[in-house]
Amino acid sequence: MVPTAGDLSFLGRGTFSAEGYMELFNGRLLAVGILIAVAGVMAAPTAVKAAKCGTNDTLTVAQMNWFSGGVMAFVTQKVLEKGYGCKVQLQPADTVPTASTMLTRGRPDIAPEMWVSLIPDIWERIEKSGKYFVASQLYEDGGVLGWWVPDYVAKEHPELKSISDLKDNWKLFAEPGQPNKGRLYNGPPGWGGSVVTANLFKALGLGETFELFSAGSGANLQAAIARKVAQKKPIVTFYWEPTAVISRYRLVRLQTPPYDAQKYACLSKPDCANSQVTGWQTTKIEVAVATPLKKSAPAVVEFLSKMQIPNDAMNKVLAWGDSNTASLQDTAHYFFKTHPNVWTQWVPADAAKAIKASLK
Amino acid sequence: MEVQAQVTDPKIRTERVSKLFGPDPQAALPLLDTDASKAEIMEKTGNVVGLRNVTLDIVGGSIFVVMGLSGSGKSTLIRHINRLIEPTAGRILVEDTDVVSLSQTELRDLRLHRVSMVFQNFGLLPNKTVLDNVALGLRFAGASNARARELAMEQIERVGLKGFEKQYPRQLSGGMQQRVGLARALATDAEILLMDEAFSALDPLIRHDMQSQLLELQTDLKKTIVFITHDLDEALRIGGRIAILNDGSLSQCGTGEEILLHPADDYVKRFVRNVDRARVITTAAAARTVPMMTSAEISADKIARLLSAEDAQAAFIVDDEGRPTGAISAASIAHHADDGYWRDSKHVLPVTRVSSDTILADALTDVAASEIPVAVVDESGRLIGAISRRGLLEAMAGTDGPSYTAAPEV
Amino acid sequence: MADNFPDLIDMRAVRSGIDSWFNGIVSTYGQALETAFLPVLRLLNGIEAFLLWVPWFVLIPVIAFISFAATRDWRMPVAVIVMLFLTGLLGLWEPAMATVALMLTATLFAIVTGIPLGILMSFSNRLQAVMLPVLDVMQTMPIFVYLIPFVMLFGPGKIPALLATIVFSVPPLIRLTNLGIREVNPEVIEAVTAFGATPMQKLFAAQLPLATPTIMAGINQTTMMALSMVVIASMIGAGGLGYEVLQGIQRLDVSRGLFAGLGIVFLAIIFDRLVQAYGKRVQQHLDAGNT
Repeated sequence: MVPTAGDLSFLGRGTFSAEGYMELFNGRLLAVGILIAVAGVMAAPTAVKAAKCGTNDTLTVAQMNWFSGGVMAFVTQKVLEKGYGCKVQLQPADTVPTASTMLTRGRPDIAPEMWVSLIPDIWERIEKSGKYFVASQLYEDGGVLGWWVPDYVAKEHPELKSISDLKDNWKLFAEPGQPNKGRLYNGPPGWGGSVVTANLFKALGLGETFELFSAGSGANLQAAIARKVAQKKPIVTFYWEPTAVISRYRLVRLQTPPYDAQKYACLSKPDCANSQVTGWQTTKIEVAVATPLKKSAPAVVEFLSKMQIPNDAMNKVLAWGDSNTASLQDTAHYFFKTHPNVWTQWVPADAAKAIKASLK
Repeated sequence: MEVQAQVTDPKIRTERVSKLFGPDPQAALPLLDTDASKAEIMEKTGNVVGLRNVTLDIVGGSIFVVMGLSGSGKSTLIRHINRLIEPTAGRILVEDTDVVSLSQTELRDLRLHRVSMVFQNFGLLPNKTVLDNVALGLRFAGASNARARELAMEQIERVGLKGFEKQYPRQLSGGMQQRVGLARALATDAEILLMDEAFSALDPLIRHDMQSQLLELQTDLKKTIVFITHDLDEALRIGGRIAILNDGSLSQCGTGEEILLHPADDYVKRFVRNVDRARVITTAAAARTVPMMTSAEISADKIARLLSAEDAQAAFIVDDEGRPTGAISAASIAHHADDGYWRDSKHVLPVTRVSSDTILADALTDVAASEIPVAVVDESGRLIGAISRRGLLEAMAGTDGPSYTAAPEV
Repeated sequence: MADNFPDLIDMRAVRSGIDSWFNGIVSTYGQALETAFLPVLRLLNGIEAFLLWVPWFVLIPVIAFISFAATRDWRMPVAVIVMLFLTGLLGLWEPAMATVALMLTATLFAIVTGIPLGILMSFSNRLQAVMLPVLDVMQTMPIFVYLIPFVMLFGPGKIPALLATIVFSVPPLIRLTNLGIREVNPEVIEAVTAFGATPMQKLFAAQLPLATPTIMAGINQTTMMALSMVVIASMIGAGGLGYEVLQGIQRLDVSRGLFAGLGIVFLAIIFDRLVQAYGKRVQQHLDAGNT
């Protein structure tokens, strides 16, 4: 294995930059030297782990900027670090930017929660390029997208069952600032679901009675939902599960017609000319892995191909984290503690032991 | 060591006014009555002495000058009169009004109607026209805009700025700006005018003009003017009475001539050293007594005796009233020791006379042109002494005032 | 997980306490707050509607004329015309007007609140001592920390965006108003006092006019900071050019982001120069005679 300069950065930058050895050429030579020295000195204790991980490169893991995506990034990191002795760096990201860096730069190495259905075009190109492969379906039942209303709205308004009922019931969703139109909350422009929602909005002819409100950011959308639920006011919004938001605010999904692949393909394009109403595709949420890892870290790929969580287990973990205002790490920790039956399936016994030991 | 200057029925009176700046003025107050110097008080208590037991009376209708170096407390003192600064101790009376005890409303009334002020750097509002600057005090007092402007215009004319009323201060020269400041102060018709180094920021020539204008105005207005300056020449030119402050204490108070001729301490001496004495000291103060005789008494012998005894340059011949009619110089007496010769009036030298209230500067040409000392006469023409060239120079140089036993001229 | 610092208190309980308190506020007062700020929203929407109602071929010359009146320099209106025309050409006219409306409203409210606060601060050293750290917090606290609570209190959209913009952009105006008044030539203030001015007369005759250049610099900074907030404001639904930028970056649509960014830069240049030029005109009588 010949390390490249870029991949040695974790050695060169962190260790030597402070002492002024940052000049790239010197840094590279020194790094190689140190690497050999370290490998020699620490041969005995590190040999086992290094062999398991299979690579000394730092593995980059996409940390999606929503709750489950963040938690899964930490779960992946923990398994790789503690179970396999890998070096892991988390890379904060969003769906579309991650997909495009995958295509252009071959990074990150692992995207544990990749909502590929939201970006069918780009994902197709990525798969065609051969740079990435799908190791596993992260959630057993996949991701469920849709338009959601709080349970109290569903209960008080039985007439509102499906997305096609919205048009006539707009008054329910009118806002004080815009009293003559209902408001459908959409996600920020970076979300694939926002595109589908916008096209579906058009297809349903909701423009007559509704405004499509673009939240601008996930945090904003979540705050808007939190606000309405706190006030027990109606809201209809795009969202998905598994998420803490769905379980925490008890959102109920509005029914849709059945999924039609052709119609949906158009809906997921920003410039869809002929948008037609159809059901949401049950979203594939996939563990996407850079192809080179198959060779360099087969043990890791083996783990990633087994990585899968039942939806209800994940919903529970997320709901716990949310109601306890726990950090991403703590929620990941909670998952390891409470669901050993899930994650011990992913790894060989010795790695499981090492991970368990690290949990204290 | 405390100098006091009190008169009866003053317009403004300060009674043991003290001001300390710093963390705990009250604590340092007792030290003011001790020998502790300003520096010592600073070191001990951290307080800066601004004023130290200043007791002054200022007579109405006159110009009173307060003088001192920077840091002497003169600007602090003047600001006590309209209470821009609150005293740490002491009383300030404007006529019967105790300024310190006034309420805010009463104080404002004092400032609006009774005391106005002119500032060193003019303190004009740069965003207002000359007219509106002058009208400022009137507007504050509640006058209508039209009325205020009308009154302001009168004052603008008085200080000779007619035609400039629509200009902004920055468009005017320093001297003109200060005339705006003066007009503004006059506009409120206050009887007391505080002038804080009012002309110090101006060029010497302009300053001189402004002094003249102020004196001219004062002959009409008869205001009570408290004038602060660090320039003794200015003080002497403007002031009736002058108070000299040093480190917050009053060093001396008196007329200009009194201060020049009898400086109270080294501080005042240093002050008066560089003053243009010729413009202050009168011939009366510089004159020396001279030998004199009536024409009947003339004898060569007597003249020689008189001249040698008094080391004088000339003996004066006076008439029965004591008025000088001629003089005999010491130089010529040696050649003609003949009584008859001297009784012949054609041999007696003519006398140049100056009146005793002439300032030396104005007697200069006469003294310089005359071979013998110039006779100084009082208002009825009587000889009271004479000024020689040397005596004049000595008086102007200020070598401890005129000496009657100076070494003879060679 | 290596914890260097011991867990002395249960932060989770503290946090959930704060959160449930805040949720309580949201559910109790959220609606009332949103309703209370509706007039502000109407004003903002009114300004926006007006700017869009005026045809572009009228608005551009009007702004160009204003810029000429402020600068007395023919280059400024030419630059204004070119930049505004380009903005329209790039298809950004509507979002640009939305951004201008937001910025103008934010600046207006910043002036209405900031200048009086700055004045009060200049009068009282104690208030200054309290306010300075508050202003520091306002300027250094990451915007998202209060942005999302604002959304929960007022509902997503323009009101929280406006409030966040004001919170972010008003500190320099408060600071500079305070500073400007404190730096007014003390002799002028003394003169005004000596002529019997009441505190109010002092303020309006001397302090405010003489502090105007500094206050104008504060307004200038406020408008610039308000403009710099538009992208962040768009993340909570304020729309405008910021939303175009946001769309550009979130969809990796580089050209869209770039054009919208240029639009923001154009607006910044125009407003910066206009306010500066106006400030200079106010200042012209204040230069001299004020040593």
